[in-house]
Amino acid sequence: MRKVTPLLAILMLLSVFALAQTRTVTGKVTDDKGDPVPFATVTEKNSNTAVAADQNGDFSITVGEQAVLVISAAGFESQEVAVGNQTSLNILMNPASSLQEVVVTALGISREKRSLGYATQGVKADVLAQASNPGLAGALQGKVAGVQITPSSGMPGASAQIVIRGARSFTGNNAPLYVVDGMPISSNADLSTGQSVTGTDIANRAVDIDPNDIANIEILKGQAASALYGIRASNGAVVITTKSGQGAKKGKPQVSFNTNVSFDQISRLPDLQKTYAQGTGGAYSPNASTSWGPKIVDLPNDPGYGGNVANANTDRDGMQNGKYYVPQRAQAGLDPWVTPQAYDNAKDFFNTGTTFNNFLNVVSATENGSYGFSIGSANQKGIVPHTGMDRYTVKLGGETRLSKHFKTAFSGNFINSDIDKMPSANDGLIATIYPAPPSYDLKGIPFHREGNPYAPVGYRGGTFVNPYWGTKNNSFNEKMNRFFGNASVTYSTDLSNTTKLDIKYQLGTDAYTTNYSDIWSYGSPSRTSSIEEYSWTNTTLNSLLTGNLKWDISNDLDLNLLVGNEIVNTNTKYVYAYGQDFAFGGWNHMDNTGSKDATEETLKSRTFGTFANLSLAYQQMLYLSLTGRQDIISTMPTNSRKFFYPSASLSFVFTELNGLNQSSFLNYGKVRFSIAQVGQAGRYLPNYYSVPSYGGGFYSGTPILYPISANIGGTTVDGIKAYIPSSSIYNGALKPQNTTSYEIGADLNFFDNLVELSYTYSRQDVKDQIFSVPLPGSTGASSFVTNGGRIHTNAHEATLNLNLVRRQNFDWSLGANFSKIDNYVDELAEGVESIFLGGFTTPQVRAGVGDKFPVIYGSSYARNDKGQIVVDEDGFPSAGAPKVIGVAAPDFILGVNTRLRYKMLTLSAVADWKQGGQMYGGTTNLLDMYGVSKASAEARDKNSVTFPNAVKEDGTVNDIAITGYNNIQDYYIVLNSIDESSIIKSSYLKLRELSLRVEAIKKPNFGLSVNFFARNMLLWTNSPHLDPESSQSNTNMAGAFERFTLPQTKSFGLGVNLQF
Amino acid sequence: MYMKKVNIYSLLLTVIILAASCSKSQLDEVNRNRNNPADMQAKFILTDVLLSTAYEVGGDPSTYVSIYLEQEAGVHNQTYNAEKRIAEPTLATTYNNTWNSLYSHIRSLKIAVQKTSAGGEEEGNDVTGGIAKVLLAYNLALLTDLYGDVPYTQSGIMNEDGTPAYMQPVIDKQSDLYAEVNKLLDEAIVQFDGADNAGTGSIGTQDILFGGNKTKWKKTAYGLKARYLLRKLKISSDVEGDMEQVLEYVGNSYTSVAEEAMLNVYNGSSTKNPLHEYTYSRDGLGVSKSLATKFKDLDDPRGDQAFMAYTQTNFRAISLDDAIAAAVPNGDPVQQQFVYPLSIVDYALTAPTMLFSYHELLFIKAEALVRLEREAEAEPVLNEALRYAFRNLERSLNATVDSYGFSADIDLSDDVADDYFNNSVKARFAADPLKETVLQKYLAFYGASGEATEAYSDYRRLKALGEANFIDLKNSLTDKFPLRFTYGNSDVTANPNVGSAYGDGNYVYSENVWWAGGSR
Repeated sequence: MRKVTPLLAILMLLSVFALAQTRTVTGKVTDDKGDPVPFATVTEKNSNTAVAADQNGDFSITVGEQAVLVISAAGFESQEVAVGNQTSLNILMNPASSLQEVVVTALGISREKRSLGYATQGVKADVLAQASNPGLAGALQGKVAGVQITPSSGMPGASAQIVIRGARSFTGNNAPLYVVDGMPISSNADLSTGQSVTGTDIANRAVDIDPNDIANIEILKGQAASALYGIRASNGAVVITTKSGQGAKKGKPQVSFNTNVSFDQISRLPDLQKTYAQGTGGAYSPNASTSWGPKIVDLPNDPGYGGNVANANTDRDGMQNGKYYVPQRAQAGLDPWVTPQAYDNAKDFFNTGTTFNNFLNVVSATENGSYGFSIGSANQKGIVPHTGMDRYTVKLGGETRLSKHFKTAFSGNFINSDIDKMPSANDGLIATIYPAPPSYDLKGIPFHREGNPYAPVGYRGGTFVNPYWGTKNNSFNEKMNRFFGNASVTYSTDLSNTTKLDIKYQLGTDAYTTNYSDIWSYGSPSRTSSIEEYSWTNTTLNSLLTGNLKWDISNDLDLNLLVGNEIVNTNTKYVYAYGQDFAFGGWNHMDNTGSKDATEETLKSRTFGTFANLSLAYQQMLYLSLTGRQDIISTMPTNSRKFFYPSASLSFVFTELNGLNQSSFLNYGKVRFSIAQVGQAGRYLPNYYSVPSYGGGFYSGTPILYPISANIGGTTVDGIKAYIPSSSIYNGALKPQNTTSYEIGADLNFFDNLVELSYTYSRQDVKDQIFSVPLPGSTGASSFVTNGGRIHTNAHEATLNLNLVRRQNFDWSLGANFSKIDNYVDELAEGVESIFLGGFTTPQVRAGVGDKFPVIYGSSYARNDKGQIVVDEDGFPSAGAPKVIGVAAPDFILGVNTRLRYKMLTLSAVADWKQGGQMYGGTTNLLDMYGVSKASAEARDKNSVTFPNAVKEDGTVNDIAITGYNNIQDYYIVLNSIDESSIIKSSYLKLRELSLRVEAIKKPNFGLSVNFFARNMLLWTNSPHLDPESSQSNTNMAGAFERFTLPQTKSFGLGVNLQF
Repeated sequence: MYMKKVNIYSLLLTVIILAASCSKSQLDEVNRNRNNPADMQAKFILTDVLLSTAYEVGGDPSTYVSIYLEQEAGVHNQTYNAEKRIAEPTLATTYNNTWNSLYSHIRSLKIAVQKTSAGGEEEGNDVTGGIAKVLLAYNLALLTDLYGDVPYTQSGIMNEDGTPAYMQPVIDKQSDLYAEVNKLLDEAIVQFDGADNAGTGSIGTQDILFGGNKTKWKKTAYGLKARYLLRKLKISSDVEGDMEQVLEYVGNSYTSVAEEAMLNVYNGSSTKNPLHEYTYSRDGLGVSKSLATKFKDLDDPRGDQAFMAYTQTNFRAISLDDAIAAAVPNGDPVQQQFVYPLSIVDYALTAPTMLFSYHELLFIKAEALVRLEREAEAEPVLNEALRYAFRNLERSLNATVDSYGFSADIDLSDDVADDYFNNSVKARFAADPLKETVLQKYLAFYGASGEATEAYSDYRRLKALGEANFIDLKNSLTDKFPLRFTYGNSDVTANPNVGSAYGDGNYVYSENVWWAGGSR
């Protein structure tokens, strides 16, 4: 170590020497319209000095003699400006051509977009936040090609899946790696929603990111783009740069404050009937789940309950002309005799949700550094009572230049969130809202018995609770505290005039604890009252050491070599406590339960990655990049922990060739090629024993909890434990799964950048996937974690930008993002036809060999040899063999956006068109079966229904009309028993965002703008009743399975932005 | 200056730490399973096999077959479909959970047998080993009785590293499996003469059935031998000899009700009776008109004590006539919940599960005697069997009434049983002893103890012998009596051996199992 000290002394002297010759230059970066260009990077050419402009375009930089500044910003051509004697500069940037655009790539390295041999796509702050979406996933919808975003519902904090270029894993993680200010952070849900037919949604950790704080998002789509991140980025990467304070103007701090409020409504209500009353077979039945009763107007004549006829009720209470007897009203302490009428139960139930969003950002700079500070809050109340999200975020970032050679920086984010949720599917509220009989006054009849708040009153029995009682008494909550951030030190030096070396060490952490609490209150009908308290603590430490050597070999040839090491160490602790059978109501606490169970789990993992990247640039025309990374991963078996992945990419800007570089038709043209390999690791465990657990199947509760007591020969023995061999078995020869991807694309600008077209075709071949192979039960185990299967993806992505008008006071642009992603399962493990992703026994969502991923599987209609559905002599279809009955993946997705600015007014709009794809529409089907859908009423009104698109047994077109009330009800019961009847089309066209921004005041030191916005206001879909964007699950089955799922929302609101 | 030193030193230090942090042993330690034990003593494995076996006997199979046998009627969703023979009886998914469970038992039991056998880690624990073998025989018989020819010899066999030795086990013939059942029981009987001598100690109260009482286990093994031999009546080449053999086994079995294999572990809070859990969760059963009418026709005192109706807040006991009036017409229910009356035992929260009851043993004895035309000897045995069957049903009825707190006059004491026997059964027994014996056994297996599962095998045995009319089922869909369970879906989809045997599942209506005269 002693030898190092003199070296340091020399370096120190050099840096003092260097400092002595410097001076400070300030400047402002604006675009051709005079608007500030925020966060531009300003570097001194041939030196290590670099700063970033603030959000007003202001910067301050200390430079040497004869300095030349290079100014670059995402979306603008780079500028070179000789400082000369000036101390204040006005820098005008030329916008939006791809010619010199700089983008952030893996490990935060900025590169000219022209040099990239692969596709990336950026979304800037203003586009991201134009409709004030509080969630990142929603804010990205329709704005990026090649990315599929699948929300689960419109509930505050609801999970959403972001998948880039299709799936690589059947049951595992397909989410991209999120990197915030250089620090990879966790974005997945702590816990999967599993089969997703009971319980609540579980938020994924991407919900912690406040879109307000994002300055820029760069989406690294292909494996070549994200190769440097290694194994964790096999699904691509979302690289986020926050609004940090780097390079702000010295002196006066700059403040930006955003506030907005929005109102949420249910996006679409089902089409329900208002004619027929609760009951079955045409008779009124006050506890029936169905509305196959008499006409509502005929209820007073009901033999059992009508007030016009003699029956037990009128015998007791006297005749009640024009009224009928409602037992639930009696239970609730109301006059049981009412005049029948139809109620709008679904519409009555939902509230107008509200979202308040506040965001304060302060940036400032001192002589030696800078800092940025932000506070954000999002306070949401959902459209379902007792749902909501409160999220608070704080960020502090800063940078200090210690000398010419040393720079330190840090960035820290703290997030606190609190989400109140409600359950869906078979536990769901919707199960008693949409199907509520129109004759039943769901809102008006109190939801509990008179004098007993814990005895629910509802229109039907069974597990399904009155939604008003459920929201009042049951609670489902997740609370999260999270810190993530990093500190870094960078050492930079010039080894010669043409070589420059940067060494950077960064240590970061991502630590969070999520506490979940799920309570089924005392009194829950036909369900064990229970409380689950569980928490998930995750601590990730990330150590990153990189060395970057830049060598300008000649005027024509530049070389860049990056080598590095990354260690990721994760500790996870899961603690779970369960109690069931509350003794009494009103105190839903663990200490009020009759039996309890608890468990805990500790998981550790470590990844040790070593990587290198070599880039060569020739004449601004030809760029070659080679990357290799080796990861050593603890979660794999001892002898198969090391994996090496190479990638190569080539970019050729052919318009630089002589003869092509003067064309005004094609003013920029580039072709790119890349090839990459990357893997995913699994978690291997040697075989083990565990405490048996009971539940599932027919059982709604937990019928057996160990330890148990037993009466043995008349004596009771307590505390008996048991252990069974694990039903999951791990393959000791597990190896990493491997994705090989090829990508070819072109970026073309026509007519002086008026038209910008980018197209990419990519092909991914994934083999040796790690997944749980379902074992035949007869092996004695249920699943085998091993390698198996192949899946491939062909993806076509295109973006088109038309800069139609570009004037001082008026501009208009139009853009489109097209994605066609075809994901096919080529092979599963030997003997395995399918893998279960979620759902019921049938219908279920699964991966099946030869099918597009994923598919819906279940009982089909019986068909003839020609594949036509055949009805029997009564006109009823019947069930055929179970098979694939639906394909979830769309044919294509097209996002269209436009931006129109006239003086101080900016109008932006985003529309999103998903074409093709199917889903299991459980609710849609059950609305018919329950007799509450309008279609079921029309069939009764006409006393006729004919099963469409089918043939009779003799092969002629089916024209058999099913008539008679009971037969029509039977028809819908039969339909419901055939899963295929629940398959609905899920294409849609949504007006995703519409916003009007008014820049009321725009002065150098003060700015005020007002933004009116609306989200998801218009929807066209071929789904019969619901918004097809509500579906079950936070896993790979997302988007394919709907059953009493909480609904989607549409929103409108306004916001104010202040800058001073 | 100081800052820089720190930076450089810490950087170097970090590099050294980094290099050390990825050694093989370090990473092995990182990936160590902290949450689960890697090995387990046999006695801890057997505990849950016992409980889980009871949960299958009294769970899904019992629920479905009680519908086929018309002891219950299915009125909602899966049970409605089973009642109407829509889809459920032929779907591979219907009995998949039971299929998987039984095989997980077989795997656990093969591990326990191996551990307690010669050369195993617990060699010398003969009682524990014997229990493992009886349970293995029991589960294997249950499996093959329900599903027919099934994989067994290649099932639950694990390699050294814990992976399955056979990923797609082949199907064994039921004839061979029945031989295996007998062999296991015989070996167990020998082992019960030994003791638990290995270092890990005796099984003790981990045996939640008998507390390690080897005498009771040995008697149970003999009782089971009687049960399985009687099962093979249809294919017997020497009916008389076999019936004598059955009587010999019975003679070596229980001598009092205190010895029966009754798993009494449901305390109503952390452990609950499986039928209760089904009904509580699904509300899919109603009073079977066929059963209620039988009670009526036979003047059976159980009829007036067995049924109840929903009230707005709870239940109320109803008379047999009221039950019959509102009962579910077998094969033709309206799909609805909370409307039909139901069996009081459907909510028997704490009713124990019978793995092998004393009254079953007595019914076996009575039937063997009757088939040997020793009616005089059989009659008192049948009378005694009825007493214990009544006591068992009474316990289950009280389990519901006590848990849900409504009033019901329940009395199925020995006096009531004797009265019924003397005034009603006796005369019919005199007229047709075999019919009355098997009919009374069928009625005795109604309840919350899971005995419908055994009644299903009995019924199919009788059907094969042409004696099904003794029980006289009423379901209108006469051509659709499921003769067996479909194979489990996990094998149908992942094991071609089973997948091809399953076909489209319609074999369940046409193909008998081997002991019922079938070929598979």
